Amino acid sequence: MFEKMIKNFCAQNLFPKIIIIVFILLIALNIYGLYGALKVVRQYKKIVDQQNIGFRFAGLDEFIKGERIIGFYTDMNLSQDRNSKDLAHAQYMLAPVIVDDTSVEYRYVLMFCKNPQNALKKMKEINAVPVRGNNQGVVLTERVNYR
Amino acid sequence: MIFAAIPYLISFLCGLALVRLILKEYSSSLFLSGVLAAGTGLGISSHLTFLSFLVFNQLNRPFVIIIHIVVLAVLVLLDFINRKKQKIPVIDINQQRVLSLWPLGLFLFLSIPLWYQSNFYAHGGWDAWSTWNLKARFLYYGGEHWRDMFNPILWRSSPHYPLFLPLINVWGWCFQKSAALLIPTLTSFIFSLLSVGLLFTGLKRLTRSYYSLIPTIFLLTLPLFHKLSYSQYSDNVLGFYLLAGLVCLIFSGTEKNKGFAFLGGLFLGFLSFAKNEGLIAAVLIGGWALIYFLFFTEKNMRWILCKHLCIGAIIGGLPTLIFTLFYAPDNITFINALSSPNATLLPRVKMIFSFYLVEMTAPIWNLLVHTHILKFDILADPKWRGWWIALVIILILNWKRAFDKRTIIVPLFLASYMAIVTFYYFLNVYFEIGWWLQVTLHRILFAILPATLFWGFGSLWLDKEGDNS
Repeated sequence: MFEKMIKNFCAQNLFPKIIIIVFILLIALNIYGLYGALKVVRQYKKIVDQQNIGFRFAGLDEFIKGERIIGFYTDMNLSQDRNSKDLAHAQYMLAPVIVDDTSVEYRYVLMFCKNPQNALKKMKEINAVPVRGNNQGVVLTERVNYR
Repeated sequence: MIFAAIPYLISFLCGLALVRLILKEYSSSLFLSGVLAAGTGLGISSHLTFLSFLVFNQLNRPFVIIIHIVVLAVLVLLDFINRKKQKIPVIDINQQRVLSLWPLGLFLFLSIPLWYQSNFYAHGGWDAWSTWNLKARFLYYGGEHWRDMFNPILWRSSPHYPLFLPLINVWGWCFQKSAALLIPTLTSFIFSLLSVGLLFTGLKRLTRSYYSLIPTIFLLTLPLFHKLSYSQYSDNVLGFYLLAGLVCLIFSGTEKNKGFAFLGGLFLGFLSFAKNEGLIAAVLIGGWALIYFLFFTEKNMRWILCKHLCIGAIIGGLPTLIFTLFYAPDNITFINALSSPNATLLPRVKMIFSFYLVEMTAPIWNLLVHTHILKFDILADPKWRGWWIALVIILILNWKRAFDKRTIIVPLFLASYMAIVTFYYFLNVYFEIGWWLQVTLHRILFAILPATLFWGFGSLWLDKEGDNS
């Protein structure tokens, strides 16, 4: 087959010949680019086996079983990509429960604050107690006497 | 891993039985039949899983598994009867046919780096966890509240997007105890391989040249192709069904094969359920194909091809119709520029075309910046490796074959599709245009990449009129 391909190559007009040569070079460039990407993954793999997203919110789903919507409060600006990514991670980890970032009028409110004082202040304001928290700034709270 | 493979195997067998039944002459190309079978099978699985939500208003795993087995049994039986009637051997595997599958081995070998990355980025990219896989989790875990995913609170997750990809993942999870990460990873990997396989086998059938390997290997080694593949986005699925629809409709015309017309229609139906752009693409391809059949094919075949295309499209597009009419919420991320008093239209147009220019001509742009002809400091990412420039050169120097009537559907579709997409960028002022173009334009282009490779390279080796048909 390769013999046939070489014969075929010689029989081609100049233009397809040039295109074939150019694309063989581009494939070589692609492989070089891939080598770089694989090196990055290898470096990551030295630290973690697999990409790990939403770990801040892992395990919280156990405490909100039966709920359909929970509130979300943050002291960060959600219009910035970095912060809205955290909200997306929370939503992904807690699905099929909806995480509402526009309201705290729910039995459970997930707080994700840079400054813990802001979370405490909000908890007092809405009369909520912590159910579960971690040192990543995440506190799942439950509102007292919520109906 | 074995349990993860079972649903894909069942889907493939369903697809294979249907493709054998429809194409009948499948003995001519095992590879093409295999790729079309896998694409058809995954589409069937998505539809059958959707049926569970229509009938039970939730995922009913036993129902989904049983209905798959029933459909598989019926299709195999029909194929068996059909082959007995026509006196064609039920299984026709000889050494030569198996050896013709060697490119598959090559592609599998070349896809090892893709699998390595896919395995690491198991959650995929942003839109995977915020949209596609999120929807799949609602479908899988949501019980009868699965429709909560349409709640406007989740506007960031595009609640109006259709469910083709999430439903395939849910089908994959039917054999798992939980929503294992392996399934979306596998689904995306399979669709990438299918795009590559179809590009090769489609081009090989069209041009009869083994140089079809060149664009195929180019695609399979393109770092951007890897990135968008392991990102688990639906653009990957869109790219495959777009190419599949075009390839089948081209062959239905060149080979006067009503089976390909039906399959083409079926793929357009699947395409319409993959993403909102897919619906536009499906309507455009279907429309151009009907015009092509009516004006460029022989009189006695015209209506037969049109009829089969329409039947396929109706069957394939039924879930899109049901979803759009009864389930899909309104698109809340749309503000009409023409009725918005504050919209600045001219800068918007400039921005759109600047993005197109920088995205598609990055090597030229970078050259101009390096040589200080352009007074900019910003270099563009040459992620397409100059493909769009190469395509333009191919079209200019090879325009007669590039606009050959046998493949004319492709340029007609691409021109009309890109015109509509560009107009939508202009019309919708909901998003800041710079950000929107930055995160979506390369994905739009990525979805049409296999089709443009098919068109460009197909035109290079397309025989003179009549030789190939």
